[in-house]
Amino acid sequence: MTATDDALTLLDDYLSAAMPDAQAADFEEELFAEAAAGRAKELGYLDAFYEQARWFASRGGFSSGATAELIAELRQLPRVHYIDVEENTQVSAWPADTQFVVYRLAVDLRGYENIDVELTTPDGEHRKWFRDVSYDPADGALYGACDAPLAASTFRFEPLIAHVVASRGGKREVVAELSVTPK
Amino acid sequence: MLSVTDPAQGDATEAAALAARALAGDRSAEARLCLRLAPAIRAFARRRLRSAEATSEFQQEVLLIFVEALRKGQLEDPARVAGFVLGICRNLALDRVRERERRGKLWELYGQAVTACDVVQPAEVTLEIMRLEDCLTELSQRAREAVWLSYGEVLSHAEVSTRLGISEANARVLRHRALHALKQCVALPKRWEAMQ
Repeated sequence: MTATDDALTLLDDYLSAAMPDAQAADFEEELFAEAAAGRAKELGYLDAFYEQARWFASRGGFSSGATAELIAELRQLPRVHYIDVEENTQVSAWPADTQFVVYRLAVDLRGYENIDVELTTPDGEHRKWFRDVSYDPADGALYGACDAPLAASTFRFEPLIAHVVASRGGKREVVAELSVTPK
Repeated sequence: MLSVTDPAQGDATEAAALAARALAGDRSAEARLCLRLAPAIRAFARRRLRSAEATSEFQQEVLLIFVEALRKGQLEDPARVAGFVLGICRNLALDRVRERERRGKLWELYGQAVTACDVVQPAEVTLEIMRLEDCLTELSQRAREAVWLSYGEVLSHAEVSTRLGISEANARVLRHRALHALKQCVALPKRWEAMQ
């Protein structure tokens, strides 16, 4: 852990009131002095983080995974683009004013648990993890929604393969590998 | 919303010099001091208050008192500007406690006749928010829940531990680890930014 990390931990303890009041009184003196001097970098980060977290909470953005029903509702809204990801999917550009991209990964994960999705390039270079995603119990498929620029990194930037990895009966296995290629 | 790249953080002017200029009527120095101190005031409020609205209201009130004091020349020692603002925070918090006690008595008497409404104003989608959205997917579900409960719902370690069914110490560690992981992750430019 770095000095910056320690400062962040201390600040978080202060904010969450895990820091006792007696220690907090001294900490406040230093905090205000650092802020006045324009040196409170961690404070700036955490201050913004609270607002961002609140924004996500208001949108329900902390869960990873959606249901067919929710995606169907979102598709009724303007500026929402839908992608159905199957084994070999070619993805066309979506309208420039698209706000959200919603998608369905054609897998059946019923009976599986601890589901992760790893994105790699076709030659196996790691790009990104989606950890502990949840599926729709009605059809076992994975559904999701995200801001259009983020979706572009997955669907429009380069060919990628989504490796759906999950556990069943105590065994870890690759349930599906779906490739996405920008058209 | 303040961002991680807030220009106030890169401003090397001494606080005392800024305060002296603000006292002399320099409005830009006054504004820079307010911008620098606002996150500390919000931190002070967040430790004591739950809602984002109450935090924001507290910050505004402190800054109003501070600006009034500057313009009336009531800041005697510019070098003590940080302590001066902290003092305003502490006095205001004390006033609030007294006020809350008074309001508590009123609430007992007339509470059923009052309905409170909260209006949440969503922030705009910023680069930081999109980076955070990107980074959140890489956390485990438990870590995401800890972040949501701690910062989205603003619950204490004790409350988070109850909701997650873990010890208070583990909730604290989970929260800290998630926070550090996210801070590292959002600091890195993402591939999709090159496409914008």
